[in-house]
Amino acid sequence: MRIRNKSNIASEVFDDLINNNVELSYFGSLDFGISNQLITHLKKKLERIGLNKKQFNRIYISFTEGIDNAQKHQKVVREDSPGIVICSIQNNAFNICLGNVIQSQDRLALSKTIDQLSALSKSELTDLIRKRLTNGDIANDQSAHIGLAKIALNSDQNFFYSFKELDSGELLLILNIFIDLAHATD
Amino acid sequence: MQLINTISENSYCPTISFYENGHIGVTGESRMENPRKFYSTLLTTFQDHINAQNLSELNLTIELSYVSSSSTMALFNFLQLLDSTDSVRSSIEWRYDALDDDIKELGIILKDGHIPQLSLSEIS
Repeated sequence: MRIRNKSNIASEVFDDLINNNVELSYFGSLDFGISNQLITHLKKKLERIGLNKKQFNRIYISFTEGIDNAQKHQKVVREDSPGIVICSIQNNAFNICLGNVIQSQDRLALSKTIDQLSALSKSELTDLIRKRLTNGDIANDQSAHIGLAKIALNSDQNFFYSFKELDSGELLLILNIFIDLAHATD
Repeated sequence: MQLINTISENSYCPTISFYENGHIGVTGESRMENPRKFYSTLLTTFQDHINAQNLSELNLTIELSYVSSSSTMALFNFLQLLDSTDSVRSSIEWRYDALDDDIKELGIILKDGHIPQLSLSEIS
């Protein structure tokens, strides 16, 4: 598999490593085992940084939900499709960058979902999550589909997405999540 | 309160601590790959414990530090099934850190939407 604009991505990653505090970087398949290792690794990093509880929670929730989402999408496409995980601290914000392959036919629905969530206020997001968990069929529903809503909530809507088309015809979804460390105590 | 047994398999499943007199503690994180399977097995484990100890009352304390969105429904279902078990009277306490809005919110949703007799306790 070759990624288009590989040199641009490599250059951005290199700049990121050099110019910012890169806490975590990974490129490879994202099965559950690897995802768990990344989560455990990030948790140790966050504990060493010395964040307060609310800052820690916002980052941990955003990262864990994001990587869970990435891992599930990847599983549907193919087990060995690559994922990208980069966590860094830039301008007093914790940045989580997640990239995973998705099926092309999922692009529109995914864009719509993220755009809709981006338009909601904090209280609307809280209500949405509450409704889905209260009214959902807890005996049968596999998921409440609130992962992206939780990311939106914990990043104060500071998350952005883009798609990159791969030579294989698959799509790479890149999600950038920013948690403002200065105001993450609210 | 004497500890009888502990189940602690890994970092992504809760630790279950069985004490005497029907007290059970659930701590750690809930973010396993297959939540339905995990909580279904856990329900069987609880039922076996109730039978083995000949319990008529169960006091469950839940103090989780993280619950993934993909395991929430299975966890809620597990607790509701436990709460509605005919053979034993259950009391469930959901504990949350005062600074943990996410866990607190899950407790409120669980109480308002699924288990009204659940008690919520804030720990500092």
